[in-house]
Amino acid sequence: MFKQIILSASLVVAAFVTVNAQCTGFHTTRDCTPPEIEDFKRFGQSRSRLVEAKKTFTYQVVLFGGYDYKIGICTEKGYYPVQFRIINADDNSVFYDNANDDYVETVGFTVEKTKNVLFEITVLASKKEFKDATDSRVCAGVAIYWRKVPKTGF
Amino acid sequence: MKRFVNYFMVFALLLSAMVYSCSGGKTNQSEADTELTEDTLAQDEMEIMLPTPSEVLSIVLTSGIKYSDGYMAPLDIEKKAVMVKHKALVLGVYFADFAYANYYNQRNASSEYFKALQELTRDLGVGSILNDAYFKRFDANLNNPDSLDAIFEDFSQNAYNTIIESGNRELLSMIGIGAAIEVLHIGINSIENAANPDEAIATVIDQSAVFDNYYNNFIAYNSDKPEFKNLTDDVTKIFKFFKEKLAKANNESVVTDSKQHFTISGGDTAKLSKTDLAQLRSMVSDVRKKLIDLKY
Repeated sequence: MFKQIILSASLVVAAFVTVNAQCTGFHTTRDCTPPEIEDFKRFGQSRSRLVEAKKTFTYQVVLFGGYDYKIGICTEKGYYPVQFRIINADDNSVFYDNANDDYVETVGFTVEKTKNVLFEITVLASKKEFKDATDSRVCAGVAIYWRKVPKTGF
Repeated sequence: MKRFVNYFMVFALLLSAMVYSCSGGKTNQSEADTELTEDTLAQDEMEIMLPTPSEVLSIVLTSGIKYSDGYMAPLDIEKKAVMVKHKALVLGVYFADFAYANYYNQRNASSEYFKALQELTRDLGVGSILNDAYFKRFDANLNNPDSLDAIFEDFSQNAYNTIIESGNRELLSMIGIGAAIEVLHIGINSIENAANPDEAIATVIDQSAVFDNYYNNFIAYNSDKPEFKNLTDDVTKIFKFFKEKLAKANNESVVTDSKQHFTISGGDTAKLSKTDLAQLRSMVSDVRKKLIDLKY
């Protein structure tokens, strides 16, 4: 009986791990890769995860000063658009909101001083109708690329 | 008959696990609440990301700073570590040391720390997650320096994410605080041989933002654990020091340069005096010594 319980528990855990793992590396897919990143490297704080459409997923990252960043936002087909906001973690002021930019999926920016910021991602799925709450679960990815600001001048 | 029932039960569970995973976790409404707890965030939930030690060191090790193996923790601590918390903390310290050696292309040292990481991750139950991606490749390319460099670089950049995505965020919070202290230790000590000490001090200030994430992530998972009380107290002192000494000017502004590109300017912070720096160095050295002496 004990063996059965252990086996059952292991299988349940395996199922959950498999579900979690389905979004692993989603941010490395082509859909998530911003254009013109030849001089850029992938940033370790890029992230993929399972989210619920229409609910906001927030995560705090550190952006280093003196670096250019390019960001690609992605989700699964049929779940676009995705709203993406960059927020100052110190005072919650909004640095960027792609709602003001027709929900573009890529953006580039430069940070002068190192700072903590919040990335807010909401899969809006505006053309999707959900049969039930679980139908709204979907992979979302934030691919971040960075490079040192090139020196200019002679 | 009993055996048949057992087999049927196993088959049914396997089938349900496969169906569940293949459907991407989409199940009927009655199961929704329990599934939400692990991998779907509630609206107000927030995740804190940890910059990798290699990323932080690439900021900290400004031009002209020379490599010194004296900044790294001695190897073989992992052999004395028995408790999970000690293994996790030492793993973090070694993550940083590995990244430091790798940054300066010290392949022998990198390989030694990599082996220690391999052993510790295996002991902590996350070795298999990292095995196919890195450790197997390392073992297969021991005589191929270029491949080793590529594996080390890949590992430095992506190991954290691999651990997070495997559902081991709590473990990573412990690993992370060890790494954060070691990176601070390397950064502060590197000032003494920096070509431009002011620039090096500025990078220590940059590390306050990094420490903010590592600290808050550690506290989120461990603040109520009695076994981490002393460590929590000590790292809280460092966190408060940064908050007190490095008040921000709150002068950020966003300048739109062109379509789809902008600059976040401003965000100046106060500077650290020599006395402040000495105080920070003392606090970090104290925590770091306790970490590698397995005193927490």
